[in-house]
Amino acid sequence: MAKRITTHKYCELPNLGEEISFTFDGKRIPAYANDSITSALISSGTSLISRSFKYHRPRGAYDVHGQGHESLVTVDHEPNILADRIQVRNGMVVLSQNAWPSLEFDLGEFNDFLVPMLPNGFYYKMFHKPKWIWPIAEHQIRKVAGLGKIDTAGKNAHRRYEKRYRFPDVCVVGGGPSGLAAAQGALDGGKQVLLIDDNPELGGHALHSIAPVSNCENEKLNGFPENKAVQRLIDELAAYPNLEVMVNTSVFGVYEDNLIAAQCGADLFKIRAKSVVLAPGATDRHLIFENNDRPGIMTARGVERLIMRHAVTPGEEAVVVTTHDGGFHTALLLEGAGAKVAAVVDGRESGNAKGEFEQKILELGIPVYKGLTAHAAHGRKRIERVDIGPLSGGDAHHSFNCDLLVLAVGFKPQVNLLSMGSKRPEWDPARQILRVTDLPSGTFSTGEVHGCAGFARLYAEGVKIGKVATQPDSSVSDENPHETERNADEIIMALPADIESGGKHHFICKCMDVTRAEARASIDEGYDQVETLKRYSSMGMGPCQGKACHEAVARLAAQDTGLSALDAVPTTVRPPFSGVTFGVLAGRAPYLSPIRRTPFHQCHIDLGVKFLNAGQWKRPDSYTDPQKEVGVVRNGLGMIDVSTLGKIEISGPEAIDFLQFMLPGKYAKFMVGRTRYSIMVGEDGILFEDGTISHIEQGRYYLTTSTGNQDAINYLFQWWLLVEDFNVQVKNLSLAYAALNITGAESREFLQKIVEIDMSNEAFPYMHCRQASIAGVPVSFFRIGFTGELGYEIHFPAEYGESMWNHLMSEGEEFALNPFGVETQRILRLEKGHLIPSTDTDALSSPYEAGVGFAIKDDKADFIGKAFSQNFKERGIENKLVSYQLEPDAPIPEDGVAVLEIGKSAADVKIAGRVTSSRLSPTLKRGVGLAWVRKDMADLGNNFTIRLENGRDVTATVLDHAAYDPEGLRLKS
Amino acid sequence: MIKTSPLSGIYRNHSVKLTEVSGWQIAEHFGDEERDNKHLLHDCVLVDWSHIGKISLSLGNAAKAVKQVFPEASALEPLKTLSSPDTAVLRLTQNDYFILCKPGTETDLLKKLDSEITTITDQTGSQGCLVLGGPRRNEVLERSTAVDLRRDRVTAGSVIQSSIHTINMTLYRTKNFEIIIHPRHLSESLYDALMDVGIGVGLVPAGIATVPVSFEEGK
Repeated sequence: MAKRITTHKYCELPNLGEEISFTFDGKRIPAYANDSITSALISSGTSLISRSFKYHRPRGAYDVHGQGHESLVTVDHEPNILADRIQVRNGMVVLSQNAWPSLEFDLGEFNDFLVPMLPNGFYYKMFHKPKWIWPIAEHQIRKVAGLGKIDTAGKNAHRRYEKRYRFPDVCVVGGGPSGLAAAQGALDGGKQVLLIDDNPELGGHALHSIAPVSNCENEKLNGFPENKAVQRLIDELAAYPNLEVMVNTSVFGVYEDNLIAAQCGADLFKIRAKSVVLAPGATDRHLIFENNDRPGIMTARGVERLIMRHAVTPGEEAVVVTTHDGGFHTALLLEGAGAKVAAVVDGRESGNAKGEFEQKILELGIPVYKGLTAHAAHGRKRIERVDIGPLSGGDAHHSFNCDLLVLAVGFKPQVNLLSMGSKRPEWDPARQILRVTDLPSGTFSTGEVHGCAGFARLYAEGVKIGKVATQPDSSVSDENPHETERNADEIIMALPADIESGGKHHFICKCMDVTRAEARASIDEGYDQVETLKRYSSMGMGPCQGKACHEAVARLAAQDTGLSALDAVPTTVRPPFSGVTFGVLAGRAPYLSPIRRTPFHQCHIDLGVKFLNAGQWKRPDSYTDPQKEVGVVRNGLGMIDVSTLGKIEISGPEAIDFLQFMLPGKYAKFMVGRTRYSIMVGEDGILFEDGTISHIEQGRYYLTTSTGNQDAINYLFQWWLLVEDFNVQVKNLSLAYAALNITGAESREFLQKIVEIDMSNEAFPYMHCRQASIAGVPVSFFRIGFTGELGYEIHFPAEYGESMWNHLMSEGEEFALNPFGVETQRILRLEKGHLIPSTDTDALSSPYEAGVGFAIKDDKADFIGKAFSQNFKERGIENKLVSYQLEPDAPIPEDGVAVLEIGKSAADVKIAGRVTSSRLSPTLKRGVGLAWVRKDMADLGNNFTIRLENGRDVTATVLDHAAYDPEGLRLKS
Repeated sequence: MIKTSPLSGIYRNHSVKLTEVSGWQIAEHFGDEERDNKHLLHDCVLVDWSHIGKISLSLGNAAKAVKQVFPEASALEPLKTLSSPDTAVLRLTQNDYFILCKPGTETDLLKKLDSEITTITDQTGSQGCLVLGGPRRNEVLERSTAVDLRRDRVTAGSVIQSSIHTINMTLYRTKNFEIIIHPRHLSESLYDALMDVGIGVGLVPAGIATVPVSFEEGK
């Protein structure tokens, strides 16, 4: 049984922090504040942590570093969290995953017996005929095979996801001895350094090693055990002001131009560094033998981590399988922690020079078996016995009772970050590892990712690389001292990819439950390349994304297909290196997207407005019922916020020339105080905008544009000012001015009460403008009529918005002034037959066909779009935008429905146009709208058919411009 | 008639004490001046300076026009500033300047500037202005923009034109403050976004009692 220890024979134990507790599957687990979930579970005697993906086999802690899938749990409603990586919190609720009805008794384990009886890759071959069966089968397969369940109830919806940015000179990824040394090298070069590690503390594996440091070029570290030496090195770094350290931070991607993506909690860090030093280290190599996935089988570094960081010994009676002196180090730590080490099984033949720790183990009288390795593990929910035998397989030689089998069979460099979608790892036969050596300019690597080495070598190599990284343009070449070296005694020979010891449970990929037998069957079926083998068997496609097994997959593929080790490289490794949630990638909540507010925004809210989203703008849709609001305008007095209109002032000696060039109208005789309807066409002659232009004082013109084109037209003007030599000043006043449209039969009487100028029809006629003031605030008045009623648009400085609104509402009380919204305005303008470009026109609309050709004066010199406008004119009318009305009580067509031409038979139906805008007119008590129809259907009084979305047809009658007040008497009154 | 800040909607959600400055209604403090000062000293604060005068000079001969009022400003490098307690001249490009001045003084300045030789626009009402102060303001910025704003890269007295939370803005850095000029209609969104990321690092809204308007370097 695992247990918590309070003393150790060979090292000091860490401070565990205060006592707390959490629950695992409802059971209370005592813990210390510095525990990870895994260490707390193990110390409480819990060896079963999860169930495997496919076979639901029991799985327990393996490397205690979160490299594999074994520690995936649900924490406080968040699924697929690595228990190895999460520090416990008091009251935390942890649940196991993928097990029913319970982790201990999981019915899914039946798969362990059933699936091997099915053909290899059965889901590719079965349940596909008849066709209808696959969706059912797929549903069941997905239900049985899986991980945690996503919290669709949104219990974590409160979580804040941030994107953060860093710009260091040098970013060092990995806080082990070589990473620390690289940081020191760069800091000594005067650079700003960001040092990132995915553990809660810096130091890497050296924190768990009691091997003494010697011959280190940093002499202050010599003579100390590695765990002390690395702490001294960390203390040295703390004195550098240019160093920023981020722990508990996983770098999951290294991209072009040294962009590094890292996750810390719910924060995504985007780091742009001038140089990157990758020092991700190495992890214990995977060993494949019968039942190599049973709880109680752990990596050596995982065991050391538990003992030295969490004061937990993970077993009572251990067998250590090794191929290097590090295995003896682990055995010594176990022995020092009070565990019984039944045997150390060394894959090396006897006769090798004995390492320091092997010597100590022998002195302690612990049996050492040479030239052997693990053949099979026995036990179901916990290992009970292990068989050992020759490396070549065959019969086992010995069998030991144990509850812990420690694997120390060499190290697998963490090449993922070095590879990252561009560089494939290659097998280095001399060092017996997969390596990536050819890195892009500005990216460097150091440490155990190039092979295991002692502390002194790792330190020296790191410092050297840190210094090289201070010159990001330097690259690593044969001449460069950066090229790493490893002595023969540092090389750990790789064991055979699989121990041929019989049995059917030699797991290659534990995440996806792929066994050696399945891999062989796949190869027999023709999937004999690493790429195809991976895709067919799904090896390396589980939660760890091959971190644990990619080397084993490649080596086994080589062994079974006859490829050379050099040719059987793993598939390309792509980001993310570690699991990253969608929340982190997506970032902040969508409700924080920018909102454009008009100066009257709060006034609208006060009146209980219903807002309309117009792009980023919040515009008032309506305050009450739009149909009633129409009546207010037609019969009384209404006011609408039109601040979103674009407002551009053009002045200067050549202002008129500029306008003549930009707009298709004529302005040579444009008198002060006049306002004109104006359109804009593109260089292609297409109608894209309409508005008004006013000559507000001598040489000063004021153009209004639609909301959507506000920015585009300003940019267009600025662009033409750069390429054409006009002596003109253009000011975008769109945000500087607020704007209101006060409209209705009583608007003149109301405004006359509050302004000093004569508002009579004679003094201030339709399509004119005036400058005046309201309560001391300078205001521009424009007498125009989009609604079809007598109306005035007023523009004034935006900062007076709220005060002006309140003033007008107060003064207008006696006239029953009421605000109305955009939806009301849409009905009003349709009653009047006014088009809105981009709503009633599209990217192919000719201004002549849209009925605004009168605004184009092509007999003037030149203007933007003149040539194409003339072409449109010469081509004549093919289709036409017409105003129409329906019979009373006819249903109202939806915007965008088709206009039909119905022939003699019901089947003879052709599309002849489309409705662009359609509303019920409360004034006329029938539907009105605008529609594009063929020219021959556009004659006044002609009837045409509109097909509604429900398939019903209604008859519309073409009008001459407007359904309401066609003569414009009310406008001009 | 009172001029209202684009953050008037925000004011309604806090127990703000409003004060009138040159016709503007602006926040003096957010209910607890002592708390605001504490945050300025130890964490960070966000202050509404929308009422300051803002004038843009662009195209034509902007340098000549600005020289008539601020003789040394025409020699400024682009993205550098010249400031006194009452005014700050920001050179945005070779031919674009932006002048910030104490509330109410923009009218006099506009009269002094020659509008014949460049396009001069009073941007006081069209632009909002937020001031970020306090020792932890970097932590707010690093969550807000992908621009490298390290203090040795963007020194005090520099200007950056970029975006914060996708909102285009001009950031003028003084020794102790970040002055963020931005379009008025997006002011509340910018405020919300900064407060949202800043809440975890002690950011609170404060008023002009905590950070009065002054452009002096090193204030």
